[in-house]
Order: sequence, then structure tokens, then C-alpha cells
Amino acid sequence: MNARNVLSALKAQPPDLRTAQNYVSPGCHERYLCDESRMAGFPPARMWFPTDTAGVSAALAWISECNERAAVSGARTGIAGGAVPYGAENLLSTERIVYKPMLIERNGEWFLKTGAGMTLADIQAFMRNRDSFPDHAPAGLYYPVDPTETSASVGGMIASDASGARTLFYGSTRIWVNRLTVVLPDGSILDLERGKFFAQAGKFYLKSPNGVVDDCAFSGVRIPGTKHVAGYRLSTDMDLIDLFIGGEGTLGVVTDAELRLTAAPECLYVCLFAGVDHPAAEFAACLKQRMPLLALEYMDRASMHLLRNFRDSASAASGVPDLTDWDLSVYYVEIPLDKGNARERVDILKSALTDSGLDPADSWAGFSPSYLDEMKRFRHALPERVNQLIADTGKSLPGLTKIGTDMAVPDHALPAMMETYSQGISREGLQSVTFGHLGNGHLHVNILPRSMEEVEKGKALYREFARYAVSLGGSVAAEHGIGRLKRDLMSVQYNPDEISEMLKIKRFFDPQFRLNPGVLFA
Amino acid sequence: MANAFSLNIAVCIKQVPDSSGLRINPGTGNLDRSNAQNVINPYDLFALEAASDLKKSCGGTITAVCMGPPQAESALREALARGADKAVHVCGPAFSGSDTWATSLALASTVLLLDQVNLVLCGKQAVDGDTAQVGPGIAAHLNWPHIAFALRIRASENVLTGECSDDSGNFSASFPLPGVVTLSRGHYPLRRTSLQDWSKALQAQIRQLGPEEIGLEPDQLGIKGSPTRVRSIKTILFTKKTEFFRGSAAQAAEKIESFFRKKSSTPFAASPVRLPDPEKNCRIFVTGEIRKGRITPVTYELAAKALELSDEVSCGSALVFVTPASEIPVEVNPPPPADKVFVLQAPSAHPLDIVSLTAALADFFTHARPDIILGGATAWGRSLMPRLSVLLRTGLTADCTALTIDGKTGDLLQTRPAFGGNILATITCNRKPQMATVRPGVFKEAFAGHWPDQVCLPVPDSIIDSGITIMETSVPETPGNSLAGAAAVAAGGMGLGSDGFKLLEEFSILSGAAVGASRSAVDAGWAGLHCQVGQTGRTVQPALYMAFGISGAVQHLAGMQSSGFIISINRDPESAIFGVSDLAIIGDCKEILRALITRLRNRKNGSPEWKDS
Repeated sequence: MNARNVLSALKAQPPDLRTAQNYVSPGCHERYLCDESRMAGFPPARMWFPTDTAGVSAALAWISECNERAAVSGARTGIAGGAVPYGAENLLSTERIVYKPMLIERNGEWFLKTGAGMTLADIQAFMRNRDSFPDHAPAGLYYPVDPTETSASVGGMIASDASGARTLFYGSTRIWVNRLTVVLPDGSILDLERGKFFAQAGKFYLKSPNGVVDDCAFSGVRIPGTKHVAGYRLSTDMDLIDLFIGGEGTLGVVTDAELRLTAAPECLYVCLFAGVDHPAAEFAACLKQRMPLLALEYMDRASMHLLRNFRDSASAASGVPDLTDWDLSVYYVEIPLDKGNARERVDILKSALTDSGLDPADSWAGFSPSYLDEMKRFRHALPERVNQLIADTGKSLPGLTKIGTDMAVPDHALPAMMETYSQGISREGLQSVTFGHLGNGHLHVNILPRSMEEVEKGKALYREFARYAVSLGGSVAAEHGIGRLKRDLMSVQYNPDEISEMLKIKRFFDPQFRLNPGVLFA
Repeated sequence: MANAFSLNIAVCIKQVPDSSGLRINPGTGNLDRSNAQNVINPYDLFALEAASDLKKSCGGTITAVCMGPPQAESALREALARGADKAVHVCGPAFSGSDTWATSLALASTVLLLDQVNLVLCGKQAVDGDTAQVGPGIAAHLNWPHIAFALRIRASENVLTGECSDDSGNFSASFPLPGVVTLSRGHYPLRRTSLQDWSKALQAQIRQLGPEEIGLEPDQLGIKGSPTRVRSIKTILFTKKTEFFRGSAAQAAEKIESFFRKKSSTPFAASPVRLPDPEKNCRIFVTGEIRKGRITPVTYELAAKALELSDEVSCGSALVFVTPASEIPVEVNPPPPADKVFVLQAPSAHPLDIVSLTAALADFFTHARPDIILGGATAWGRSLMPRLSVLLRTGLTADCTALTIDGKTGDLLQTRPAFGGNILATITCNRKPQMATVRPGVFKEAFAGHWPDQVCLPVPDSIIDSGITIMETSVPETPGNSLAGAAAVAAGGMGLGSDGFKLLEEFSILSGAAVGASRSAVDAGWAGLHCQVGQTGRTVQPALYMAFGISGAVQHLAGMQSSGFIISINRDPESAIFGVSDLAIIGDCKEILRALITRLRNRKNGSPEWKDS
């Protein structure tokens, strides 16, 4: 035992319902029963809306005292059912833990302290308005992780280690989290700073507020070298803050966070271009080798067809820019630039295209944020269109869902993975569109079933793809997480020993399985 | 490539803050520019496309010209990506602080320096200043003809023709090259710039020109060369107290109707401050606009203001018209409040031939030597007044919302809103005459008891030989009521939907309110271009503005927030438009519109109170 491997929990608020009751909202609010997964939850008996760490602590202490369970809810933007209350008497929402973010400077690094209920949009708006910054704050300071859904909450993004298109350059949420306040299931409070507390040789200690010290021993698990959000990233010398990032709220509830900031590139060059039957994976590798890219995204030809039909039927009102002359798969890149290297990098991109037999004139490119906005609108139109299509088909076939995969594989394995995707789809005679984060070896295959039979076929194919991805050293859940919907993929990713190591951790922090029942583990 | 001549086109561009990045800070009500990047002025993009289009049919070269600080280089790079062959950057500390007069002089001098340029294209106005003065100013400095607010242009056999449209209808104007055209948001689709285009643009050399290279003296540049000065700036805080209303569609409709009756009635004309006196020495003039024999309302409004100002400085005020006839028909026009009316009779000048009219007026004013000249900020006045100001070698302030006389100096204090409308700048001019334009509806119109004396002065043909040919083609395509000068406007946005716009038209017919639309609704094809309200559309200030399903982008707010009373209907309680509204109704705008229409239909005979009461 030493200072580095002991977590000291602060005293919980007394389990006093009178204090905690201030946070209980009478009645059950429909909108908290579902998230973007469209999974339907069970109404809990009570819904809690604490406004700060003390409130969460009081609530959890009371829930623990009553021997009940709590489902944790953020902004409900997840698509794996992680926020859908299920088997819990209580719903604990972090959405009211909001306060004005604070900018902190430490040794030349800049951080943003913020409440778990703040949304990404809130943070972005705060970072845009420099009026409240100290004068010496560097220009262009920003929080670089960019999940598509800006209504996501800080708590949710941390619990699910969220990523976005720019994860290619910046990584996922994890490395940008510097400090967390976490409330444990019994209501006691941890203050975790990155670089302060580590497991040592697979062991660490937790000192409870009354002085009792428990120890936890565990072995590491195999973690794929790709984007990956499935269970705990156990390694025997891990930084203990990493247990709670991507832990999907199963070990504790994040209430405050200190996020690391960085300077945005001076300017950004964005480009959409068409690729003619070119192996996307090899092309991606070639591009990444030549210059830094903030994002490298992909849409296959089927995606473009879907968008085109949509545009034809909905006219200009769809907001989808007219790219109907492109009967091709489409790539999207974001290149960070400064004044000095703009010409050089644009030329590198141009020659990369020429070398791969693509025509640089068959592209859409530009610098200003208006280009970025328009291209974003174009890219976001696809998932929206997919959802709409499924909703339309679902009118006559209730229970019909899209089957959206979330596997990532290492770069070298991407050609094989993509080949397997297209073979599997055509073998089963399914309809699909494939798009996503090419640069991270992370494409979403969206199977669009037209019948319930195809739903079953699609689900089986998903598992087949997942097994293959793991065999290539990849991840079954690169960014959407496991939640309640994808629990069966845990056994595809990990062997039983690895899962039991994770269960050790779960039992150590939450022996009664009070928090988020049904998430990660049955 | 059938034409033997070749076009050498200079496209003048300006770098402006991107209005899509602008937000109103809800705390302070101020314009938050922190997220706004610099982009090419949107209208200049149409000028670039028009240039490329001409080049396709006639050959030639396109040179993009930009006067601006070093960072304006990025605008020139983009112009190169968008089809310009060459780029010229007029840059240097000496240019900073230039007003539109000095800017147009510098650009005109640059154009002369370029190889055989025979056509200058500009966007109709820059969205940060909204003056629309630089294009006509360049033309006047070059002594070339100009066409303002063209929707489409074509060239053949050395003749350039522009298709234009204003409140009086569609027309085309032609002139033999060289000349200047300013482009509206017309028929030119914007291209998608490719990697290839950008690669070329980034490789290109940009020619840098300083004051010496363009042959200007220090006193012709920047602040020294600018006749107008910003005397003071006042920030207006949005102090609107918004009343929020939630209720059924029928209740909302009832509420709107009651406000409609109260607010949309046109105010009675004011009485003039004093009786006209033909003996007075006229030192304040209004350039009168007359259309098909009828004096426009803004002319009456300005005449009333001119008379008021003349009373303060103890002189006379006069109206001056250029018409083919020897006098203004008095039987169809109420008497304007002026001490005198001058009629410059030019039988061969078409009333839309701005260049000829300006030449006649310049000749007149050179002799009359007035202290102040006012003009209406209509399409006509916004083309004519800047050209006139250059010919008279003086400054011009566009779109004034207040005009007063400085008691100490006797200067005309010209107040105008600046970008986004939340800053008011008071401007003075250090040369005479002091010139200003005012948008219709800003001042109250007034009529005199009897017609003032009309003095007819024939204009020699030699003065008005502009070379411009006008062909009037059709009446405006605006269905129903025109936005210009409407007492009430009912505008729709994305929240209304295409079927909602049909309801809006029906409501317009029943109520007499003019139809307006947000830019996205126009882009979606739900309403015509002439309906667009906002920075890139029309600025309106009716007594009553009703916004159905408009979220309130800054660029839209800039076009309507000075309306007398604003009612907005939106489902989203966080809509930005509620911040500038007097009455905010949270609800389904289509349902409310239906309820309103039902109410109106139930009133037999179309309800006279609803129409011009």
C-alpha cells in the first residue's frame, strides 16, 4: 500500500430522504424511458434529478440504504440502450448537474471544469465566447473531441468514452479527461486525477470514509489496438481513472469533470471526393501515411444511391447538397493547416488522388467553415435517411429495426474486413449501406431489412462479422458501447476468464449490482 | 466563341464576416462575432459566377480585385478557386479607414491599371455595410455607365445587357462596353470548388498594389480621402420585453388578430412643419422619384423631412425630378411639402436610365450648390445617389434612420444602423453637399395644402447621352402584396413547410399583409426570391411583422428587427426570433395559420378593418 495505489473515498451524504427528496420528481416522465436506441424501458418508481455531487451522493446513499437499484441517465443520446431504465426502482438523471464551466490553467496546460449535465453544445458555445477568458488564454483553445450528436452530455460522453470523426487525430474522450468526481454506489465520493492513482501489479486499494481498507486484485484483459468501448480496459498497471471512463456508469456516477483543452488548427481544409472502385482501405492507408488528417470518412456507393433517391423525392428542402452526378463511393477528409503549409498539403492530397487514379476535379473542397457546415449536413443526411427508411418500413412491420454494426479493425486488416462485409451482405441477399470512420478502420454497416426474416438474417450476420473482427485483432464495439442491447457481444470479444476479471472489478465497487443493472453484464 | 471582341473582366470582391457564424449573445443582446470567420461577400460570389459565365461565351480573362487588409488574401485565393484567372490585392495601411467614396476611387484607379479591362462586376452590396455604393461609385470615377442590381447579364457584339427587376417590374438595360454591373442574387448557381480549383488557386501569384502603384496621393486615401466620418457610435441593447403566449391555436389566432387590428393600420400622414414659401432660398434638396407619372411615397417622406430640416437652418427645401415631361402631373399626385419643385426636362431620358438621370442632376446641382441632398433608398435611389455623390465629389451615407442638424456646426448628423442593426453610427460629411439616402417608411410622409411652384429646366441632350438602352419587359411577378412599403408582413420559414406557404398566401390575400420568407424557405423553393427578408434579401420595417416558423438566424433578424411590432410563432421556445419579438407565441404555426384564416373567412366582405384602415 502506498500513496499511489490507494483510492480514498470521501464520506457520503447521510441517507436522508428529506434532503434527497428535493431531487425526486413526482411522477414518471415518459421521455426518460428510452434513448436513441428505441429500446423501451420499464418505468422506475422514482426519478431523481440532483443538481450537484452532494445530491447524487445523498440519492445513492438513500437508494443503497433501501437496498434498491438505480439506472443512470444522461442526455439519452446513446444507441446501445445504456440509459434505458431496466430492472431498477430508481432513475438517476445527471442532466441538472449544470453550472457555468470554469477555465483552469496549470503549468501552461488549459482545462475546463464542467458539470456532468452540460452538453457538448454548451461546452462548444462556452469555448467560442472568449469574453470570459483570461487575456493570456491562447487563441483557438477548444475541446477537440467531436461526437456527432452535440446534445450529448459530459457525463454520458465520459461514461461511453465517446468519439467522433476527429478521433482519428485526437483520440477518444478518454485521453482528454484529466480529473473526475465520481460517486460510488454507496454514496461515497472519489476525486480522481489522471496520473495520481495506479494499479500496481494488478492490485489497488479503496479506503472507505470510515477508514476500512479493501483491496482488489485482478489480471489484465486483451484490449484491441483500435477504437474500443466494451467493458473495463484492465491492465495491471492502469491509471485508475480509466476504470470510470468508458465504464458505462456501472462502477460509479460521474458528476464533475475536468477536460483537457488544446489549440485548434489555424485553419481547416475539407474535401469530399469521389473514388472509382478503388479499394478504400488501401487508399486510406496511403493518405494517412502522407500527411496528418483530422478526419477520414467514407460512404459507399449504396449510401450515395440512398441519398440520391432521397434528394430526388424531397427536392432541395432535404438540405442535401446536390451531388447527383457522383455515382461513386465518397471520401471525406479534414486536413489541419496553417498559413505556411496550406499549399503543400493541398498538393499532397491532390497527388495522393492522382496517384490512386482519382480525378482531383471530381471533388468538392474548401476552407471556410461554411464548407465544413455544408459537408457536415451532407454526411449527416445519410444516417437520418437510414432511420427514416426503417421507420417507413417499420410502419407495416412493427419490431423491424436497422442493424447497425460498430466494429473496428486494425488498419492492416481493413481490406479483409471490408471484403467480408460485402461478401456476407451479398450472400444473404440483404440491402445495406456502409459508411463511417475509414481512417480508424471503423465502418458502420447498416443492414436495412425489408422483412422480419431479414432482421434475423442480419442479426446472425452481425455476430459473424463481429467474430471475424475479433479474429483480426479488432473490436466488437468501437464507439457505441455495449449498453443493454449488445451484451451478447462481450463473449465474442472476451474469453470467460477476462469477463470474470471484469466482474471482479464490478463486484469490488458495486457488490450489490445497484448501478445500471443490465448494462455490460446480465 | 463567335464574338470577335474579348472581355476583360475585373470582379471586385470584399471580405466580410460570415453571417452564419454570428449569434446574438442572449445575455447582452450584442452581436457575438467570436465565431464568425471571414468569407467573400455573398453577392460577390454571384459576380464571380456571372464573370465565368460570360467568359464561357465570349472568352477573355477574369481578374479578381480586392482592397483590404493582409488577411483578405484568403478571399482572393477563393476567388481564384472560383474561376478568376488573376488576382490583385490592393493593400496597405494608407487604405485603412476608407469610406465608400475612397474605396471606389482606389478600385477605379486599380481597374485603369489592369490590362484593357472593359467590364467591372461587383456584388450589389457588401453584407457588412449594406451600402450598395461602391459599384456605382467605381463607374462614376471611371465615367463608365453602370447597371445596378442585375439578375443576369449577357454580352454580344461589344454590348452588355443586364436583366433587372425592381418594384415597378422587370426590365433590361444595355450599354456598349466599357461599363460596370452590380449583381443581385439572381440566376447564377454557385459552383462547387474542387481540389483541382484550390490547387491552382494556391499556386497562383497574387499581385500586390500599394497607393503609389495605383497612382493615388495620400490625401486621396483612407481616412484623409474619405469625405464621411463616423462621429459617434451607440450600441443598442435589445430591451424588448417579450410577451410569451401558449394556448390553443384558436386562442393564438384571436390574439394575433387583435394585434393585427391595432398595429397594422397605416398611420395618418403628418402635417408639414410649416407652409411652403416659394421666396425661400432652397439649400436642401430631395431627388424625387416618379414612376409612371406618380410620385413615390418615399419622396413625400423625404420632402417632409427636408422641409423640417430647412426650418432649423432657416432656408428653403426643394424637390427635383428628371422627367421627359415639362411638369409633374398635379391631378394624380398630392402636393408635396416643399418650397419649390424643379423639373429637369429630358425628353430622351428613360426614367430607369440612372446614368442619364444622374448626369442631368449633377449638372443641376453643380449650379444650385445645395447644402444637403436626400434620396430614397429604393433600388432606383441606391443606384443613382452613389453615382451622383461621386460626380459632385462628396460623400454619401446610405440607409439613414435619423437626420438632424448639429446646432453648433450646422452639419447634417446622419444616423444609420450598422451590421446586424445593433449599432447606430452617426456620420457627418466634411464636404458639401451632404448626401444621404433613407429607406422607405422610416420617416412619415406629409402633404402640403397646395402644389408648390414648378420650375422647368430643359436638359441639353449632350448631357444625357449615356448610351444606355432600357427595355421594359414585364410587370413584377410578385403575387399579391409587395413587401416594399407594406404595413404588415407575414413571413414564413422552415417551420412552415411548403403546404404552410400556401396557407400563408391565402392569409396574405385575406388580410392584405405582404408575404415574406426566410432565406432557407426561399432556398427550398417555397417562396420566390422577391419574398426573401434578411441581409441577402430585403430589409423591411412594416408596422407589424409576423414570423411563422422562422427560427431567427442573425441574417434574417437584420432584415426585420426594426419593424414596429413583431409577432413570432414557433414551436421551439428557445427560438432566437423570440428575442426580438414583442409577442412570442409558442405553438404549431400551421394550425394557428389555419385558425387565423378561418377567423378571417368568417368575417363577411373581407373585413374592411383588416385592409387599409
